[in-house]
Amino acid sequence: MDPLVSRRSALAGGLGMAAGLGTLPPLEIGGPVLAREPLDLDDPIAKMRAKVKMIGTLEDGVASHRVSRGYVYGYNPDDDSFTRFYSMINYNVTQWTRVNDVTHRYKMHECALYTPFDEWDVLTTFQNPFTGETVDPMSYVIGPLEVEVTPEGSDTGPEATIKPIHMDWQVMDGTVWMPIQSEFSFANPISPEKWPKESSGPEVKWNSFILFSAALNDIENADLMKVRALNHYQENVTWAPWLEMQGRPGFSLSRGFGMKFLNMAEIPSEPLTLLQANVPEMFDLDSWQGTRNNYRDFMKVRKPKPV
Amino acid sequence: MNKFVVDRRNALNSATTFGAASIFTPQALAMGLPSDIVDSADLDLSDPKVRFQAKLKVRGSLAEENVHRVSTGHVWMYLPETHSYEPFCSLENYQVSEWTHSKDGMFRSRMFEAAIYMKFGTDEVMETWKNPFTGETVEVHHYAIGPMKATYNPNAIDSDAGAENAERVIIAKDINWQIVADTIYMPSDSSVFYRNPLQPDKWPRASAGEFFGWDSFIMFAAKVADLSDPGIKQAMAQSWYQENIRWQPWMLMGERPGRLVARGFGKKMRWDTIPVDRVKRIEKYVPEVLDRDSWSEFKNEFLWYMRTQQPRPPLGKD
Repeated sequence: MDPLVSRRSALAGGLGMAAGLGTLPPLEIGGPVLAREPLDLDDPIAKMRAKVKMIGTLEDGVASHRVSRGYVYGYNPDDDSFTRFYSMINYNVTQWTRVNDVTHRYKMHECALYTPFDEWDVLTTFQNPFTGETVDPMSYVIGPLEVEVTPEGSDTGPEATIKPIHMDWQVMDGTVWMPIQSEFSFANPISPEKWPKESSGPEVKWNSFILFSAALNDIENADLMKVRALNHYQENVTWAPWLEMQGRPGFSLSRGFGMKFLNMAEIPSEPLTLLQANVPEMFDLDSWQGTRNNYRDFMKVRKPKPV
Repeated sequence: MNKFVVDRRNALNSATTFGAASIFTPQALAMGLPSDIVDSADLDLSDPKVRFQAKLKVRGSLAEENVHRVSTGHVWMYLPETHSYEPFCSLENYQVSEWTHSKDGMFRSRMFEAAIYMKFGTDEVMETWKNPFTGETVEVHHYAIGPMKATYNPNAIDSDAGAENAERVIIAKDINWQIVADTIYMPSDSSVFYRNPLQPDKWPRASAGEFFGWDSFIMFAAKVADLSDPGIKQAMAQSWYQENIRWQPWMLMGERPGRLVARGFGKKMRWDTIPVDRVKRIEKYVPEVLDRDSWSEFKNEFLWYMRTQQPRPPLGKD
């Protein structure tokens, strides 16, 4: 069967079904349900639509905003311990294009602004508890990254290092959870030879887990093109170059939580004010120049320090 | 208390600026959805009484009732020599706490927790596990822990509620709560390093070392509206956890460097909304958590191991 036809049929059928069910319970974010699209976890199209609603929007030409608060710890393998380092504000903007009923594309920009641990202020210097030295934090800014979402999965393109692997979804008690993991490694652009103080070692390793959850009622409401979704993440990453760890064993552990909003107006003022003042380029995407990531930016603005 | 409160005027002004600069205008929900952001001014978290009630509603209940929390976890083995993560298992976690009020005005809880090990990413119970480092197959021990007792004093909300537990090793540290849109987040972390009840000289195979490391992060997220409503005694919060812990005794990993990395998610539920398959597995593998009237003595996975198992000689000397 043509998936486009079957999708339209399903949506059309939903109208009749809802009428037969009578009044459904109030939604998390919307009014009464007029059309339902049941979330069948064995249906790749249903899962794709649910995923897009959670991480972005089914609409064409609309931006989606996600803000998270992260807490970063340093792992010291010498004594097998974790130490509180700092916090961060993550801001992720995705600009969505609806290609057809079963294909959606987004262009992503993301940044992280560092703050002292559990405080709302910019981290201007950081005393590295492992080296005892005071270093200059450097926020990261990434993008654009283009991703295509289809029933077969997410295609991040050959240039992307992150290849997300979808895990088993859960639906319990009116909530949908969508966990995603990714793991990759690549030759460190901040090489130990050229950047002995700043390099974490010959390879960058990245292991992450992110989870989105949303109300099943919203996901199944065919009138909603997007939903408010909570997110939770963990990242285990080799040291950022600005920490100046000199190849020291260990890694950064980031634990965070946040929300994919229905619109930008929902972003709370505390993170928004700090982000606008310190990462203004995230709010002027039309003027964005080239492709940025934390390693390119670091090499552009910093010089290798002697050990 | 740091309030992370939506300032709608400020945010709306910013949205306008952003919209003017981009073809991707964040539309004010052209589909006509009503915004349901609760005015968080109704929830004055600077008031200790409000904070006390909010915390109990989210983590437990203000009513005398049993509180159930169900989670799904995914666990990897972190191997520091290669800085790699190997999928290990999934977990079905079940936590139940019995909430009561005493005549002196205290809120008390008795908490039990159980976990059933599943094959990674499946709903198939893991009965045995093949240790990839030794090649031997070991029997999996699904764990049941408790009771952990806590006393919450409405007049001393920052007091240590779990102080009466002599066996306790984990004392969580609260991180500032935050309100985002319609949701309040309550995170906490803990980091402990304590003398392992299973010492390696006596338990060379089961002991992960002289000391046991346990680092965790747990987050509860609930609707602000539920906390503002005096008629709601228990907020059916979502919860997420992350744990980095040393090897479990039954894995027989010895002192090999590394940790288990667990990442989980779930929510509080009423008993009758817990999926039937999960209830059946609880009944089969950790039935003691359903027979709490017969459970008074504290136990955990270490005590269980020491009471029921015998030390194994080092590998190669069996």
